[in-house]
Amino acid sequence: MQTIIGAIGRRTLHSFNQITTLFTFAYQLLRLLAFPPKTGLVPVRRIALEQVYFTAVQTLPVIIPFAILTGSVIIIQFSRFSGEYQLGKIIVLFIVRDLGPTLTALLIILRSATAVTIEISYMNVFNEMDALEMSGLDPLWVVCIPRLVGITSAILCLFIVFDITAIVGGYAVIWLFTYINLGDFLDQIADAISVADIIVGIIKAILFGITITVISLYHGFKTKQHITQIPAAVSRASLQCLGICLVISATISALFYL
Amino acid sequence: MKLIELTQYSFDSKKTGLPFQPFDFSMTPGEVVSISTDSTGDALNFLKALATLIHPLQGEYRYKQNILDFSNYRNLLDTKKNFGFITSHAALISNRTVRENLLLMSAYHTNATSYQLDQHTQELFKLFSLEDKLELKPADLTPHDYRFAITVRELIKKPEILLLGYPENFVGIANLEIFNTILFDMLGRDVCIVFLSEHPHFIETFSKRELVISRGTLRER
Repeated sequence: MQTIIGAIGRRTLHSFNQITTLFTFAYQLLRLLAFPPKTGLVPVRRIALEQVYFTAVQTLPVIIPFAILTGSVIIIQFSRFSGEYQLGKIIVLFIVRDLGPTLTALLIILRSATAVTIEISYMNVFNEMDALEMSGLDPLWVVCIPRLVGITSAILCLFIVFDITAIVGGYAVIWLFTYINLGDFLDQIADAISVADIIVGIIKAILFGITITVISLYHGFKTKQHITQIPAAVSRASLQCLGICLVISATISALFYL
Repeated sequence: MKLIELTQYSFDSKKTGLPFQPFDFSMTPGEVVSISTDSTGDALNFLKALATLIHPLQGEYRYKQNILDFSNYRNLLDTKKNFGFITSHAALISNRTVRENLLLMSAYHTNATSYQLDQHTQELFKLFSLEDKLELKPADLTPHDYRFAITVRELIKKPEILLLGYPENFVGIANLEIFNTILFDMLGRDVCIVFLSEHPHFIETFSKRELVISRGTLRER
C-alpha cells in the first residue's frame, strides 16, 4: 500500500514540477518578447519570418483541403439532422467556436511542433546550442522567440483560413445537395456569429500557439545526451500539446458560453 | 595582468572520467599551454570548463579579474564570445548555411542586415578551399570541410583565448603549416592558446608550458 501511495506521490510531484517548469519557461519567453534585447533584432526577425513561412505558408496546401472536408462532413451530417435549417448557426457553433482553432492546433502539432522538438533535440545533442552560446548568442532569443512568434502567428492566421475555407466548403456542399441559396446561408451565419465568437477564437489561437511552442521547445531542450531520446521526446511533446490544447479549449468555451 | 584565473576550481567530469580535484590555473595574455593526458575525455572537459561550458562544483573563475557568475547562462555569453573553441565538441548550426554560420555572430552583435564576407574571412576561406561551399548546409559538407568551416568561424571571431583539441585533426596535416602561421600571428596579438595535440611538431613548436591531466588531477610539468 505504501509503495502505491509513494508511486502516486512521486508521479504527482513530477507532474507538478513539470507544470511549474513549463510556466517558468513560458514566463521567460514572454518576458523576453516584451523586453527584447537590442542585439540580434535583425537576425531574430529574419528567423521569425522563416518560421512563419514554414509553419503558416507551407501548411496552407494541407489545411485547405482538410478544412473543406471537415466543413463538408459537418454540413452533410447536420443538414440531415436539422433539415437544412439553422445550418449557419451549426457552422458557427462547431467550426468557428471550437473545431476551427482546435483542428488548426492539431495540424500544427502534427506538422510543426514535432519538427520543432526534433530540431531542438538535435541541436542540443549535437552541441549546436553550445555553439550559439560560444558565439555570444542567446539561444532563448535566437532559437525560441522566432519559433514562439512564428507558430503563434501561424495558428492565428491558419485558424481564420480554416474557418473561411470550412464555411466555403460547407456552402459548396449545400449548393450541390440542397436548395439553400448563398444569401440565406450567409444570413444564418451572420445572425449566429457574435463578437465573442471571434474573440474566443483569437484567444484560443494565441494560447494554443504559446502552449504548443513552449511544450515542444521544453521537450527539445530536455533531450541532452542521446539521439535515441528524440523519438520519445517527440511523442511526449505531441501528446502533451494535444492534451493541454484540449483542456484550454474546453476551459475557454466553458468560461465564455456556459 | 592575468587574462583568466581559476582558483580552487573543480567541475563534474563524471560522464567521461573522474571528478576533477580542485586546482589553480591562470594565464597571462600571449601565453601558450599544452595539455598532456592519459584521458582525452578529461582533457576535453578541461577545455570545455575553460570555455565556461561546464559549470563549476566549487572555486572561482576570474576573466580579466572579474569573477564569472554561473547562476545564469546569460551572464556568461559576453565572456564566451571571447573564446575560440576548436574541439570535437564544436559544431555548426545545421539549419543555417555555411555563410550564415560564419557571419551569424557578427550579424547578431551588429544588427547587420546582410551576410557579407570581409577580406580576412575570404582569405581564410581560400586557404581552406571553402569558397564554393558558402551556400551549402553543414550536412552537405565533407567531414574535412565541416571542421575547416568551424576553424574559420572560430578564427574570425578574433578570440582572446583559443582552445584547441587536436588541431591536426581539424585542419589536417597538410594545412598545419598554414595554421601555425595563423597561430603565430595571433600570438603576436597576445591571444592565449591552450591546446591538446598528439602531433610532435605542433607540440614542439608551440608548447611553452605543459599541463598534465591524469585521473582527475591537474598539475604543471
